[in-house]
Amino acid sequence: MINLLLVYSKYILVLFILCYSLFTLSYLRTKSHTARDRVAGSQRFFLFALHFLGYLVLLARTENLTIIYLYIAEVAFLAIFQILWRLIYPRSSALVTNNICMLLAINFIIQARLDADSFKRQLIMIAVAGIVSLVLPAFMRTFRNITERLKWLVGGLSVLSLAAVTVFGGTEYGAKLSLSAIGIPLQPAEFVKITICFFIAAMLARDSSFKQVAKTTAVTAICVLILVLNKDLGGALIFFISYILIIYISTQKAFYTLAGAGLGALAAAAAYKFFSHVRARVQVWRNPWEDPTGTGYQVLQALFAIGTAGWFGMGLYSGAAETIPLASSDFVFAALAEELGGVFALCLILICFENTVQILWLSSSLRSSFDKILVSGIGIFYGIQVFINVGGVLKMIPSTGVTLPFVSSGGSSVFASFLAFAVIQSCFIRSEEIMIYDQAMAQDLEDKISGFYRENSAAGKLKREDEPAQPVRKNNVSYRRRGWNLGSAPGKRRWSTARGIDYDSFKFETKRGYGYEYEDQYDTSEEVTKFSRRGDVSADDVPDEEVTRFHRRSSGRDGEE
Amino acid sequence: MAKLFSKSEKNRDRDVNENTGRARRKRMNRDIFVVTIIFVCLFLGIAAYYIAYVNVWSQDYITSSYNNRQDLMSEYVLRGDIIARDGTVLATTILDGENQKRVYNYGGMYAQVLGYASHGKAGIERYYNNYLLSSHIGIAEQIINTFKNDLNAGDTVVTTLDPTLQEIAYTALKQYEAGAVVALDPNTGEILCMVSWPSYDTNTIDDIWEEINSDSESSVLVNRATSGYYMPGSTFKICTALAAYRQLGTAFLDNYYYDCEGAIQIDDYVVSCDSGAAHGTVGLRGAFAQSCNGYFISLGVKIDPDSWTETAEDLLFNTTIDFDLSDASGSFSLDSDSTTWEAMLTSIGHGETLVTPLQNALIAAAVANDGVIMRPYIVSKITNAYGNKVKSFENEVMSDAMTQEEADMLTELMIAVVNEGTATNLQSLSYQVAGKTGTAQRSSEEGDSNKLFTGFAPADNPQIVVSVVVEGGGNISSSATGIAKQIFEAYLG
Repeated sequence: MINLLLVYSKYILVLFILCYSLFTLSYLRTKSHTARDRVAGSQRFFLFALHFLGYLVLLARTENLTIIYLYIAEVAFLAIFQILWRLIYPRSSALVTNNICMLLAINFIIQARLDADSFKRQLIMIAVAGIVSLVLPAFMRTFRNITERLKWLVGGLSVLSLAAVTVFGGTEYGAKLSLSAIGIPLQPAEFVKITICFFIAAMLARDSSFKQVAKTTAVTAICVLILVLNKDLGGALIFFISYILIIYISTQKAFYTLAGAGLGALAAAAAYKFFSHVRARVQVWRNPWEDPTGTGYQVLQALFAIGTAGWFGMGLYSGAAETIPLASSDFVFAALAEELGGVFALCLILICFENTVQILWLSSSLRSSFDKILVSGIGIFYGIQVFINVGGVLKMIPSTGVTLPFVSSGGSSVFASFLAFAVIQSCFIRSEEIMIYDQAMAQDLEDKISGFYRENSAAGKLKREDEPAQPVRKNNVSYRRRGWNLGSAPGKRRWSTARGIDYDSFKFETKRGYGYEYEDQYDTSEEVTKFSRRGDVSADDVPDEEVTRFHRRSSGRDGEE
Repeated sequence: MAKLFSKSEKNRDRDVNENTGRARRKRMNRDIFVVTIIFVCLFLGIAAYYIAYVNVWSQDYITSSYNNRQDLMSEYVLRGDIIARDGTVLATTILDGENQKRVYNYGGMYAQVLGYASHGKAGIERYYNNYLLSSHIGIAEQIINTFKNDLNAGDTVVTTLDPTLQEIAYTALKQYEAGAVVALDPNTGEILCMVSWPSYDTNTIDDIWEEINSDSESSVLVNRATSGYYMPGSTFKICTALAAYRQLGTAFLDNYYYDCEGAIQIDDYVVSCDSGAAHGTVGLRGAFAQSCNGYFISLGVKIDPDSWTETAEDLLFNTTIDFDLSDASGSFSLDSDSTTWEAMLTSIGHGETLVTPLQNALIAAAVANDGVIMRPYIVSKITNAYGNKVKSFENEVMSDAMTQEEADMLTELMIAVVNEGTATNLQSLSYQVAGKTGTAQRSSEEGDSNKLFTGFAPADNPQIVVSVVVEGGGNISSSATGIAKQIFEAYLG
């Protein structure tokens, strides 16, 4: 029986993550909220099933009671995390929460496989970070306001905390990464990835003039330089690439990005010439066989692991994942690929890809430039970090030593990932709230127009045949999502049901994409145009305060209020 | 229509500040879309790279001898066979219940070449371990095997070895104390036979491991053909002749004669010819054929050590040989600080000079193949358990040792050795053999020496190179050439 479990479990684990990924795709395709809820529910099933089966195998292999305790603690954490997020923030994205929990479940399995005993501390850290992430959205507005007023403080602190590592930091694997405060190692670079996004957003949200861009770039460049000095090449690379992409979004000028990429190439060439540790990494990348038992050892072990494991892996505990240096942190992808196989690894890449794209899509639906830059910035940092990590493990690019967010061990990495997740969710929640409010406003206006129409018809000012066969709101205002919805929002349905509107069949077309810009509806919708051209009625007949109120909302100036 | 919202602040907003208004947000959305596309490309790139790596490129990594992970595959794969060039199975695995047992069908005959798969691995078992533990049978069969809990049949390693030659060489060497035989095809670099004696029965390795591993006397585990260092003796005169030809030129050599009286004295040092025979007045051809030490020593002290070193390195001394089982090559140490005595000894392949039997074969192969050394190889292809090709290894040029002119000159000298010199017992064959014999003194005791031979046949169209070392064969006349003759006979008829 146990033998059977060990042989077939690896296929079932692959099946579970494959189903999870397919449900994610169907989640993105479906528009109905009830269907989305169903899909999110199925995802949760596969997520917990995968976690359960993984731990069952671990238990069968080790016969260690610690595994059971770990399992109980983790299931409790995942369940409570899911429930609390849905209870406290019903409008948060279920898909993002699910994806994070899936990454955590994978983290739990592989970390317990690699070193169950040292993983206990890590788990406590994850639980604390999870709770902090729950509280954060409540303070999001405060953070935003503080950042907008004290942007230089945020920028300055970011630079200082990195510089503190240069001065006080301890050296690990040749790089200065962490500060040790009251016995807890802290890697400021992980947190600065978030604060620098706040800083850039505050600097460029209202003013993207050359002067402003130059100031922002100066601060970021200092950060990159300090990271290079600290020999944290992975961090420097992430900062650099992310920044030139963020600057493109914030200024809408490809010139900055291209110039930045050009300068970056020059800087990289200079770094290659002057820093031996940069050269060493590139040489290992170009030819790991030069010193297969020394400098090339890590990359080669990872490649042996991935290649030997093939598509279905060796099975948990049947591989030699522990022999890959840094298997639990930077090279966790190789450890996963070895024990759980190539299909599993590709699904993991798919989940990370989804996270990136969803964060970017979310940012495109946001109203305020600040939020847009902040959220797209975090998304870009996340995506680039995943790319640099996985690409480095696969020897697609030089390996530079960065973590895979939510999957790698490492307190600071996991903690910062949770904070970033909370920032994203709070922006998502806010965007959902605005959308619902807008819909209410639009509905009010439609009712107004429709009532106005009826009154005038009754009064004989309009001819009978001019009246649309369908109620105005159904024909005129077709609600189509051009953008991408990030998740179910029970609140939306509650609101629409209360108003007697079938939310799912309520279509609302926007001409220029996501953003619920109602003006455009009325600009183009024929009925309203015809209606207003009747001659015997004019827009002036619509009560002023309603139009203004509606318009104020939908013009959506920065600042939202 | 515009009227409807004529009171709005919309347009005013838009005009007042393009930068913070809706227009900017829309441009931003366009740019976010562009960045999204960039990420789509990056992640598709990763996925494509991963797929290409696992399906194609990983083969080069998996099969590396640095990859210890493949051993884990023995849980799923039945270690593949090793077969000879004609399909004779040399090593196979049989299932004894749950246990895999490696069986070597020819006992000690192939022991050092095949190596062993336990106790740390050696030989083909070691260097082709990852192929033997990979399975390329059909996917469907693999899945069925998984469900039946059966092992997948591992890939077969097809060697270039010729069982007939291997057996002849092994049987012949067995009569002597120790030695090695290598035969290869100079046109391709295929190893046709490789024997090292003394040997052991690999089937019994588990029982005798302690004993043979600690026994440094006979060193049965060592493959003498690739890793045995021997003084080349007179076979080194090929190198001396080439170095002299290069540095002193034809004009000098054609007119250079030496009057051999059985021994040569330079300063206080005396070296005698083999058995003290006096060869009379000899030129290059005569001296090479008769292996006259006096001639070559008198020539050797004239050669500049640096250019001699260059020539020796062309003949693979002081380098590595790109060969699967071992990259060992002999050493040549002579420089401007060396004494006359060292130069004298080096001229005749003694002193610090060392060679491996494989290297001696490659030197003859260079002469046979117009100066070009083909990379020696012992595995021609990998097939799956049903004989379908998985991978094949192509012939490659390893190095250019000498020009065609030099090769022709050396061929002529080596023919003279057979026709009028020290290897006349090879004359009876129906084709012309070219070769060089050697005797290397092991100790000061008379007759305690190793016999060497390296040569090829037919001389005008070389098909096979044979290199033989017989340890302690000094007292037995034609011990090395005798083995070579048997191999030529078996291969060429």
